[in-house]
Amino acid sequence: MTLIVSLAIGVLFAAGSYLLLQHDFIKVVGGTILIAHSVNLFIMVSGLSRGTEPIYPLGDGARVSDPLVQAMVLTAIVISFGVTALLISLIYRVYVSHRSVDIEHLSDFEERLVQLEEQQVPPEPGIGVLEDREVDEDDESDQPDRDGIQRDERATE
Amino acid sequence: MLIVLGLGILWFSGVCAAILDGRRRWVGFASVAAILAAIAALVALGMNVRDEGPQTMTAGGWPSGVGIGLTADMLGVTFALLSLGVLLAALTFEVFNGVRSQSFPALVLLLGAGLTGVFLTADAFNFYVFFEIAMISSYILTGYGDEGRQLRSATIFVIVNLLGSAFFLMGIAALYHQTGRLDMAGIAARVALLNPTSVILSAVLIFTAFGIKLGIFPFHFWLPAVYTGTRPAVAAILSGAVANIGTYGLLRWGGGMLPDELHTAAPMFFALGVISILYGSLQALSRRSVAEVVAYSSIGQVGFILVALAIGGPAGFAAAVLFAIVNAVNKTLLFLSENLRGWLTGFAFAVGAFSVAGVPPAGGFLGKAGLFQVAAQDDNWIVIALVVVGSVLSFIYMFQIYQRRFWTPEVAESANAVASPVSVRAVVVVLAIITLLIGFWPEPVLWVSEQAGQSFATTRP
Amino acid sequence: MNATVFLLLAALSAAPLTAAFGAARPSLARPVAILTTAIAFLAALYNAFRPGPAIDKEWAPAWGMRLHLEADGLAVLFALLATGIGLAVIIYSSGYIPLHLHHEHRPEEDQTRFFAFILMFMGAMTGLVMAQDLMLIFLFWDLTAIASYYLIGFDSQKREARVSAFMALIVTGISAVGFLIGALMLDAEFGSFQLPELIASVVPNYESDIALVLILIAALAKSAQVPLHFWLPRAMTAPTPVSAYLHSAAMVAAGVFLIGRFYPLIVLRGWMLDLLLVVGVVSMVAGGLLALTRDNMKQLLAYSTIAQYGYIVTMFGLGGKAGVLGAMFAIIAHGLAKSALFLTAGTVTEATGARELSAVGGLRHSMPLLALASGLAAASLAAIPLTMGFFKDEYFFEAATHHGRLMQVIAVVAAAMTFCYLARFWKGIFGGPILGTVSPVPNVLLAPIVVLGALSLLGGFWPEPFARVASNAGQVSLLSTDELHPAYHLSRTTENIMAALAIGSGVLLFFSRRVWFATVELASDLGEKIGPERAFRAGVLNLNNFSDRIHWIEVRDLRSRVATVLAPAALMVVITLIFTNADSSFELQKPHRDDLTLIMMIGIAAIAGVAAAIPRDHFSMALALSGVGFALSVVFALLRAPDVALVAVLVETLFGVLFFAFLALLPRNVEHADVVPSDEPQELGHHHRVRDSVLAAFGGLLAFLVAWGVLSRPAPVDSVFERYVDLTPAAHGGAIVTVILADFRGLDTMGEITVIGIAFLGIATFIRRRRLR
Repeated sequence: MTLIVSLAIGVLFAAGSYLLLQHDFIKVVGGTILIAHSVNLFIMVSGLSRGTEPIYPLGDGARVSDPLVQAMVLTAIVISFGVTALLISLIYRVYVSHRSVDIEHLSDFEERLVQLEEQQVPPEPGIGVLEDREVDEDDESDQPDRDGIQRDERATE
Repeated sequence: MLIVLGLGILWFSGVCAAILDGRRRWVGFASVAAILAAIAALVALGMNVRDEGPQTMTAGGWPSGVGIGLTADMLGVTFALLSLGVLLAALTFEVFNGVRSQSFPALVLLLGAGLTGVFLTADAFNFYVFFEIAMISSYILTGYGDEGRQLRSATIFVIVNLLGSAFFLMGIAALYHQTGRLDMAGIAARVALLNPTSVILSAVLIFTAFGIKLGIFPFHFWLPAVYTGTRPAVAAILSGAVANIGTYGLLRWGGGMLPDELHTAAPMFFALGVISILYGSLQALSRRSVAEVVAYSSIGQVGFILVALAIGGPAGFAAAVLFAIVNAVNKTLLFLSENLRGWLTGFAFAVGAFSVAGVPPAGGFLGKAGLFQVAAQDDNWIVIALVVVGSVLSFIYMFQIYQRRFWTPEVAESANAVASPVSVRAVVVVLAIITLLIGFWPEPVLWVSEQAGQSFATTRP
Repeated sequence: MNATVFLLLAALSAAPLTAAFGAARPSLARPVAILTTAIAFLAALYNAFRPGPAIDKEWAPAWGMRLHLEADGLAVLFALLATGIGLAVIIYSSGYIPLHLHHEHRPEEDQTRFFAFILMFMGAMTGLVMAQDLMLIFLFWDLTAIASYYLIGFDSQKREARVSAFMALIVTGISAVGFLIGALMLDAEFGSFQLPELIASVVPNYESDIALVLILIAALAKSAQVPLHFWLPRAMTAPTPVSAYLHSAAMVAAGVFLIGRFYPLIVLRGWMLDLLLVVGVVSMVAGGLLALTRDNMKQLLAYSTIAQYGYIVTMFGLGGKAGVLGAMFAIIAHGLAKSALFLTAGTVTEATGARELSAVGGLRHSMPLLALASGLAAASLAAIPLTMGFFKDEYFFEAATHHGRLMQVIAVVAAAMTFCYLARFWKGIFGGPILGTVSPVPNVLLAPIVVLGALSLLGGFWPEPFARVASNAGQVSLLSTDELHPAYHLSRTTENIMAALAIGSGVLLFFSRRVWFATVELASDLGEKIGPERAFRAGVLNLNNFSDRIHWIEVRDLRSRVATVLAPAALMVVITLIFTNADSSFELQKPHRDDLTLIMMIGIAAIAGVAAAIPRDHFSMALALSGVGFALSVVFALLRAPDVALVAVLVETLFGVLFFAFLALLPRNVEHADVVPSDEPQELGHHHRVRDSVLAAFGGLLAFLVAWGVLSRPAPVDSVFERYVDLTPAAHGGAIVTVILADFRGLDTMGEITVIGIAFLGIATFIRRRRLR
């Protein structure tokens, strides 16, 4: 039993992952939904007992299905519903402004923006760039004072 | 009662703000006041904890283990105050700047409620619920500003974190299955009786979830795109407040509930921390914009936290908390000053740069000093060398961007940002002053981290 | 308010006061600066005669950090240096800076910044030398680095200034990190940050050795000793008063101060003294050689500083009374003389517009006073008799003699070189025929130099006060009561012979310039090509390039940020399983007959999941997803969870409506979008599919292994759910799950409702004002 359930969880998760890796945002949403399902199933079967429905009146000595995981799954379902709905509205908003739901297109946007910025800010050509040498040579012009020597000699003559 | 006061204030005011139009100044200021009130409540709570030890209560008056418990210890209160402080700064900043969306203050308040809940809860599943409150608020906040780049960042952020939440849930369910308890104390007690390798899978899942939140290598790829795309206030919130969930989570779940697993995983933590430090710092070097540099720097900085966690023990945890505090303040300061100009901002940014590089009197040096101290006590040369390398790199990238931004005349004059009102810059300056204060008077921060680091000493058998 | 506190406060408040007054009115900056510096100097003088008591207050008890400051002999020496020379420089600056700003076309307000930072430096320096707590030393140490950074970069519009400031900051900042490590190690090993306690309790061992070496490295970097010397010549791009103050008398002095402060610990290990000796000698020689051939005035003086501090470090290395106390004396002599020479260079540049020796000449005619004053300073530095500097070399020779013949030779050679380049300096400016035009300069650019020069002369006739200060300082380092009593010994002492030899050789060197100039220049060029500066810059450059490359890799190849979260997670799980060889039993049971329906529904859910993933249009995917959801609802019902099944059905329905509505809003072409980027040929698209499938399978494997691994574990003995079952009647309820949600764990439900509420808020935010097409 555990094997079969685990297989199902794995398959659902795999399907969800596959969708998550697609270019199309809508497929990505589908992926998140599948993964959520997979996790919910996992929580459900993590329950510590299987028996009858956990509702009073209980039969004598009847084992009851773990109500705690049921509560957890309920909460998880509702929360993931809320978040997924939010995600859908976000994608809708992205569509409205970009006219596309393709991740690649959006990445292109991003890259082009970065390139634009880099053009605006000329990089201080690396603080360590050795071309500084030219600048140095103006500041510390190392001409020997041969002239000084010669001048001295002329002076003393 | 005091435990829920801060939480309640934030929740109620968040709900109220949601109904009102957040773009109005008075709504913004009222929200700021609400956060201040919540901070006051938490400070009072903190003083109680300092005097009487950890405070607990169980919701609904049910016995502990049955009802959801809330526990305020120094660790939780510290993080709550830290995150609320960041939220306060970011909200004030944005209110002065002019809020662009009706729901912004409400979302910040609700995020605050979620975060406070995360830091004060003593129940695993409740942790997840508050975690989700915080995350969904931050999803919407990421998209604040409504421009293309914010929307792109938001979608990436949501999808990545949905995955993280899924992992987290699996981890919780797995823990429940093996321990039969959902309260953290109960889980800790049961786990202690089990063989470490049995819960290792849950530990890995939970670690992954928090790692995604923090942006540790290799879960960091979403971070630069998101942090650079969102508006400065939101970037500050994400890096200074939301990321704390990751640090706190690793401490609470790793140090508190799964200490043996943490110990087993220490080499891996260490390796990932090292890679994060190197990777983040190296990437930050050549980036041209403040947001990018700070984003990659974040990856590097959380690597330090991870290294501290790997060292473990009360000293290691204290160093991790200290670093987290200092890092949150730095990041908030740097992100908020991202688009600002002028010499006031230059001063504030300089303080932030010195802080990241670890130069006193900016407070950041305390984080590195904490790590050095912990390493020195164990003669741990690898850590010392690592922190030195990290420091060298952070010096270089921080001051390269500082000089590019504030000293290079062509850039300094190309005002692609409209001159912002003085009040906005004042927020940033106040943050800089706080950073300096931490450096000049380190005692409170040091004491608090030490206390927080010892939160687990009593719970371990 | 005792003398110590007053000194500290006077020094520390100078900068804020000047900044405040200067912000209010720029013209106030100068007088306030002069006044505050003068007060600080007087306070230092007072402490020289009547030192105040120590300050010792708690600072950060969590780590044992204390505000522990004391105006002992060592502190007084450096405080006098910092405030005294500071006063001279500030007075000079009051004339120089306005002119400088005028040349650079910068606003008058910038002078407030200048004075504020110089005074910040002075305050930090004073605090540094008085501090007795290692962390406090570290704080002030880095404060001086910060002030220096801003002062070097004062003309930030010039690229050279930015580069130099950056270089100086990195070198001194990183060596400071070494200091921090050393301090923390000493604390970890010996339990205290307080120097007096450490001096009493340190027993040399492995840890203390490393700690002290790190501290020494920081000190040597600050004093610009080889190989960490290269930042100093670059720092000459700063305005001249900065060079005169920081980079000749104060900041570089901080390095040797630190050596003096830690000396009691350093002498515990002979090899540390030898290390100082080696570094000092190398710096002496290298600095001297390089100074011999520089044409730029300030560069020459910079290398001279490196060489002179090499002297001082060497003397510390030689040790003993002559070495240590002599070093202290040398610090005073050098500070007075070098700052005078730097200020001279500034005045000359201001008067003639030239920065090179070869461009000026014969200024003794037009500026005789300046020639005299700087001549005295140069003479002092060159250790000519009747100047203060003569005695510094005498002590140097004495200490060298104790060490051996080789040392004596080195000392004489170094002194000769010093004489030569100083002669070159003075002669290049003031000697020879007149070159260049001279404009008049304000007196304020001359007066400080005259004073400093006069002091150098005074010290030659009446060295006692200076010797006293040096002795007090040296006593702190040596922990002894030795004293210096400099005097002229008109006899054939070894020192006198050496001095004569040195001066004689110096004169020889000077007049034989043409012979050796080219060779020496070649040597120095070689040094620069393979020297540490090149290593530094190559390092920074390569790091930047490397960073660019890996960034490009990240952006180019790893666009799908989602995949990059999934893959490592899956990898980690697999690795964990392998390495911890989870001692599992993966369980394998035979399914019950009754569970057939359940298994079937689970299977349907899985199949529907796969169906959703097969590339299709969105509509089909949505249908398949609903299928999964409903199938799972049935599964939940079969698992005896009616509440969950109910909610699942509700949510699935709602969600289905939402999703289909959303799809309906999109135009058809998007609906069918399975976009492959047009620039990617079809084969790559295919590879994409393979890569995705593999990753997905990996992810599925992750989930499968986790699920199977966890579910195979034995269930715990008791579990909290039983308590819920038992307590439900007490909560006045019948459906346990409902009671859990509404009562026991009501906080969770509150939270979940909040999440839904926030989701509404978000959806409203995202779709409002957007017209539906």
